[in-house]
Amino acid sequence: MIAANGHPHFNEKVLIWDGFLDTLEGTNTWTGVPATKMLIAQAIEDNIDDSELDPCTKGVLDKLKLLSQNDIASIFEKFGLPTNSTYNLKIISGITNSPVALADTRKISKNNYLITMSNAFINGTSNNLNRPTDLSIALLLIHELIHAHFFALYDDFYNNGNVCAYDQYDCLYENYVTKNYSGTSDVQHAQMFDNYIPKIAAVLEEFKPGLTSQYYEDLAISSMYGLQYYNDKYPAGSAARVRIENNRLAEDNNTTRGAATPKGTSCN
Amino acid sequence: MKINICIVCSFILVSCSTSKIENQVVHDFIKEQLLIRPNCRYVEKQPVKRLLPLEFYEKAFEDRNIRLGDMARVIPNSYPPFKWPVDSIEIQKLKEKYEKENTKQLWKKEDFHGLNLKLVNSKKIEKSGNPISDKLYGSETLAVSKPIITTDKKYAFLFFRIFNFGISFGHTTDKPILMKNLNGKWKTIETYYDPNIIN
Repeated sequence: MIAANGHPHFNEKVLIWDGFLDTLEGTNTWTGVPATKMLIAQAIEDNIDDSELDPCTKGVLDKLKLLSQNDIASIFEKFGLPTNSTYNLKIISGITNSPVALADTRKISKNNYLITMSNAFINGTSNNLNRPTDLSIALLLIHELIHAHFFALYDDFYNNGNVCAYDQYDCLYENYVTKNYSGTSDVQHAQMFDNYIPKIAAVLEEFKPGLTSQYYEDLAISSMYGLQYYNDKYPAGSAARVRIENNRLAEDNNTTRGAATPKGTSCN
Repeated sequence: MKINICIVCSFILVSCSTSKIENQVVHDFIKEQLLIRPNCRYVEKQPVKRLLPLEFYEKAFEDRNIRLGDMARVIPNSYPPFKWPVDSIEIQKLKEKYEKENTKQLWKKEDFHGLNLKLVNSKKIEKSGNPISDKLYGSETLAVSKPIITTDKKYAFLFFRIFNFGISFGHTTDKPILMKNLNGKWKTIETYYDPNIIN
């Protein structure tokens, strides 16, 4: 991380502008390696500040970091990375911006982002003390991490000199570059719907293997619930919509819902 | 005595006229929404805080010269060049006028006459602890503020929220909007949002 005075902290990986990933080894000693996408993504993952996260969510986050094929770094790496990859990410447990939101992602300042996981949801206080399962929490974290990634692309495009930041993201490109996005949903969720559903499902599968691919896909798409794309694809009353709702609610509430039973493990 | 009667009559006439405009704004807005959300059947009885859309607009107006990419609190959803038909003087007038209103006034059935929408009190249902009926569960529900009409009666502010009843993990649509009176019909000309936060 870059401290307020502009100097990096001891032993922190610092990504600098010349394409090298440099690590401060001592007071004045740096070692550097070419900053490949993989290394950059890994550094971002390593530097996530989770010091104010509750133990339950931290446990899920730590597990996500350790996945071999689909860890958090791979989320950032999937479609390209910010050119100046010095962005800081903090995840806390707290109060979200809206009383009904389970989590949110906020841009605090340029290259600084904060994910808030709802305390009431994680602790089950809004649900008769039924805590969500680890699958539910993992899904929320992944969803918000993708938002953080999109905020970073925004900073890269407008502030960090990367005019190609949106080249592989059609919806974001239409909104920020050609300025003719015409979708009814907000552009970040539109982009997520376009590109990230298989990725979210893959992360969940590696996180908790052994379930059907339908189940992982249902959880992944449930994070799009309420958006126009979702309503168009799964009309109200359709069997698929009912199944997706039940699978998601089973994980969120750690309880049987219709034909669905929770597959994850809660922190109780 | 005659002057008092005239004053009272004038007040009633103005109130009726304002009420009619507000009613028209709400109706035209809902008709717009029902075109893109044909499954929306319920309206939340408790209106959204009336001043909320103006608060959003005020921040967008104050931050209108902040460069895209820098930290603006609220921005329009459309693309530049943006229009700002309501200036800071009018914003203050409207805040003073509408701050005094009775915030406990709920929507009534007749406010949505002819729109095929039912009133629902979602908070009361959720607090009751009773299971939400199958009929209501997952239904698209609209919550909307009472409109703010500008002094010249050309523009109106509204805030609306669309949510799925009983679904805690769903995305709600929250939007402050600016409507304009175009040949007797109110149309949404701009929406605003906080670009720094997302769920």
